[in-house]
Amino acid sequence: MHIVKATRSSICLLIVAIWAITATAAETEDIIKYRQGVMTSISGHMAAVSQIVRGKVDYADDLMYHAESIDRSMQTVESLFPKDTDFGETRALDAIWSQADKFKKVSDEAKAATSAFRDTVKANDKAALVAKFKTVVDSCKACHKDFREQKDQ
Amino acid sequence: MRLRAARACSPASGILGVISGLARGLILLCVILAGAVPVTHGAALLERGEYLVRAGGCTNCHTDEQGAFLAGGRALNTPFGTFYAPNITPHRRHGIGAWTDAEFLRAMKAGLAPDGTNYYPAFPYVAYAGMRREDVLAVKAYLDSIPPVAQPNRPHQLPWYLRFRPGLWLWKWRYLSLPAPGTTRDTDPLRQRGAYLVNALAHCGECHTPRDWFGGLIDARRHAGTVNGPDGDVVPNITPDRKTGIGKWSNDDLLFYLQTGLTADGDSAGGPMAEVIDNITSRLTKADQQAIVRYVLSLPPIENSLQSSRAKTERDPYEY
Repeated sequence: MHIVKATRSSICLLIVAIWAITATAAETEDIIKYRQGVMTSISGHMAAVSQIVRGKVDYADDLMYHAESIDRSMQTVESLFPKDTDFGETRALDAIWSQADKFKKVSDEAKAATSAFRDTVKANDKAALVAKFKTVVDSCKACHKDFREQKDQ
Repeated sequence: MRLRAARACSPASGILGVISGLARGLILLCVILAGAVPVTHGAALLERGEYLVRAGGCTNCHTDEQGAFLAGGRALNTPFGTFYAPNITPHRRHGIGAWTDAEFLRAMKAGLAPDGTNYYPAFPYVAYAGMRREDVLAVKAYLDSIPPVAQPNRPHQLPWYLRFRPGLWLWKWRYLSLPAPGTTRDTDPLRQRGAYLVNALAHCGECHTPRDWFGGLIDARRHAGTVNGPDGDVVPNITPDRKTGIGKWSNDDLLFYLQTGLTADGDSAGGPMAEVIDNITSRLTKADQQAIVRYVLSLPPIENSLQSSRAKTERDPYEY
């Protein structure tokens, strides 16, 4: 009788463990998908801003909307990389968590750069626009240099 | 005095005197020029050398993260083993401070150390072979002017069968090509300058070209990208193929990318290319950037998809 109870307890524990692991994995995949969505939206706005500040298109009235969107998304950047979201279909490198201080530093620089760009757009400071936008690009590059896996184009 | 005057009067001694005078004049001229050269030409030479050191990508490999400028130590992981870039500061023992110009030229254009041993082609002498002699010497002049650093070189970590350096003679015989990269004549001077920058100086093809079993570049697929780049990275196809390369990029898109690292679709360069943008292409003159654009977008398009494991989509959905 004792053996039967022990076996049933073990089976219950095993089922709970499998359920917990599966649930966590599902949650992780969802976080990764959300992160990819946010990052893709940032790059969409970046592409639009690039066309405007280079004088390729005349959508200057939309610049504030793009700058604001980039900045709002960027302010959440660290929350997009909770621990243990470095497996699955992602290019996020383990260095994000193993070199947390360095990641925080580049994230802070990116946040400051996008805010400065938004402020420049708000102040309609056309002379500083391209330079501030380049600072934003530099901050993207600085993070992608060390924390994103190189794959495809 | 009398004797000299008498000699000067004879026809033979007259000719000798004229020759001697000319020789003295020439020597004097040389002394004057030699005195003048280091002041004016020297500064311009160093400036030109610094520009070429940047354009040649020397800093990317020869400066370690947190390390002293050009003092080496940075690892280059390849399918053939790990190479550690050497110290190229003018330190006489650990660097290249004791090298003559001729030795430096031989290293850069023939891949030979001063003692005659072969360098591994991780040092891109196959590309530098196309550099103009005066450009190589300007690089040497600049390297001689930077602070020497007493940092010993780290030995490469290679499998036993690749440690036999004389075997590299065979490799060189096969892969040191003629004409040297970037030296082919072109009717368009801007494109010719671009070819020189891309193929000889910045050696873009060293990363962007797939290699064969022996580590040589596959010429027929030059710049078509590879899945076996340094550190196991995928390196994109930069030929103007519309499906798998950069055929949809405009001149301005590529120019802006070389200046900033931002692609037309709003993504940014990462990994080693971020360093290439920061240290090389963004620091070139606009004329040189335009020359690269002209040349790269005139390359023959080569279809080479690097996304073998999954279907190609407009954007990579797994990029963050």
